[in-house]
Amino acid sequence: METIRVLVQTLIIIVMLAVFLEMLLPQGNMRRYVRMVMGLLVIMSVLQVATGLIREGYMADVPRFLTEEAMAGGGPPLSEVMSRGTAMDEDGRARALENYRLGIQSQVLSMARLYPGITVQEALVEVEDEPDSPYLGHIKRISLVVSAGPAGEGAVSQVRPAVVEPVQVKVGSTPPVDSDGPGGGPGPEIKSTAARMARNLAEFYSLEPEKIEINYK
Amino acid sequence: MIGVIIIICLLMFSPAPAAAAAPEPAGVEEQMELLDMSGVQDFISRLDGEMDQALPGLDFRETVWKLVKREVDWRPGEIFSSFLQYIFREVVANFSLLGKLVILAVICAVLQNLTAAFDRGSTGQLTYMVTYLILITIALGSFGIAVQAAREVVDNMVVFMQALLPLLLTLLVAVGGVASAAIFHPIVLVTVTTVGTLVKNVVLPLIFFAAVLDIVSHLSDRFQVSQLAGLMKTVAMAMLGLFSTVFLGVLAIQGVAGALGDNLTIRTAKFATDTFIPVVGGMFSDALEAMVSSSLLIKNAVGIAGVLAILLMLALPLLKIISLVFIYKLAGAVIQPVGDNRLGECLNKLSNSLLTIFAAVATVGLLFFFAVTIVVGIGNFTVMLR
Repeated sequence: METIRVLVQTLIIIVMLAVFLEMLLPQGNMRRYVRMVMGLLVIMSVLQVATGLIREGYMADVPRFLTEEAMAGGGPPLSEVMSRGTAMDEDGRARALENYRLGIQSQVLSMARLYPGITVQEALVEVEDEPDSPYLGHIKRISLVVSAGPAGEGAVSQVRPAVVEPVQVKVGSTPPVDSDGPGGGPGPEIKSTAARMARNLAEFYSLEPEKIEINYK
Repeated sequence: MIGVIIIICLLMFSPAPAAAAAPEPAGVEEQMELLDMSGVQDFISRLDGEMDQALPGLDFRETVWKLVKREVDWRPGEIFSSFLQYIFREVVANFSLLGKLVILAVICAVLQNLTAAFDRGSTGQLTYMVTYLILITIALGSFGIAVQAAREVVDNMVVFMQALLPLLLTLLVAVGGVASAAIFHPIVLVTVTTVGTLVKNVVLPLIFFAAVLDIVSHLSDRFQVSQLAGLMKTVAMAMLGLFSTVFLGVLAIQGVAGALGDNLTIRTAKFATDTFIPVVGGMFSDALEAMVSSSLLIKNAVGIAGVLAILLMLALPLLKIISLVFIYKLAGAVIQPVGDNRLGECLNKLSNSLLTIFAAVATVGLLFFFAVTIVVGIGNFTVMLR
């Protein structure tokens, strides 16, 4: 570009010189010669640039148009862009996995609360969250906290006013009468309902029965 | 040109098919937090203070957020009136230039008449020539300022694109376009920078030199260099056309190739999730898709905000150039009846050269607009195909 700039500069000077000489010189043959000489100078300056370019190789100037920055492309390297994008992707996946886990958890809780005679207080679902694992998203374990109580979800969801029965204080060693089994554990009825529920859940989610864990409270 | 870009922009981006009609997907806010927009924001903050005077300030993150939440309160009427005000202000500011040109042209005309009265004396001719040169120097001074403004805007756009494209490519990776991003990264950045640099360092100077040679040709009828000027202008326009073709061709072909590769990977992953996770596999892939949709929504919003920033960056210098073109044309029209034809023609040539500069800068803006559109479109294409 510098060559062209110099050429334009030279041409301006030659033309202006020619114009002024033409005005200043007396009328006559001299003017014609000066005009011709100036014309030759114009041709020479243009040809000089052209031959200069050929001698240098016309591609020689191309890299000069492009700065180091232009050749490098500017901006952060690809690895940085990839790592940022991958971090966003992983964050999104982790959040999607958590949403998915919570969704299954609430689904399990809803299904478990359909069984009469027991109250499922809590359901905890664990899923495979190792990104490289081929089992990503598979259910690893379902833990349920079960206690004796009124039947099903309907019973749980309906808010009833608490009725406090009159308290009787008895002195003596009369064993408590409730649905719990001997030693304070769950009664056989509760256990069988919970086992039925666990079996059904395992079948529904295509899980091995031992992956459903029931804790009694 | 700007109107066409705005309409295309609205048509391309406004439907935002992944999320515009549906409620905002989950996790958008968290993803926005993760996105580092400081590079773009810093650049916009550094931009000419002139921008703030003519148009409402552009906070990039806030604009993206508003676009995501569909709370954009753009008032086209207000923007249009801002542009009109700016043009009017520029024209008024250039009235002094118009006054100088007209007064000098009148002096030229008077001198020419005097020369004719005194039997074409050399002194009269010389004085006429000097006045003519002063007039041309004044005109070229403002022309040079316009060329400098054009070079600056190209430079600004290149720097802005260097900050915006990594952001868009990061979001492209986040929506699963890993192969597209890997292909696009070097190609887009190198072509954007190369085209910008070549236009700034070769095309614009060539147009400037062509304009100067055109004016020099008007000095004398006997020493003409207008053909050389024409050659330079032709070379500049041919280069611009070549850059545009190569730039768009490379981007389109590479983009489609990358998107198809990504689509294959994503479809395989989706099939695996749906099929191999018993019962709830669909639920998992739906949750993943919701997250991808939020990234896509942000990517589209970043794209629109980027295009908007490019438009703003481009609009003011282009309006400045247009107002100068108007002044030159007006000066030419006013001078023609009083002065000689040479002066009017010379100013007309200058205004035409300014229009060529306008076209070159607008073409660069259009190319960068297409680059952003293609990168955004490839992300949409990748997600759409899954």
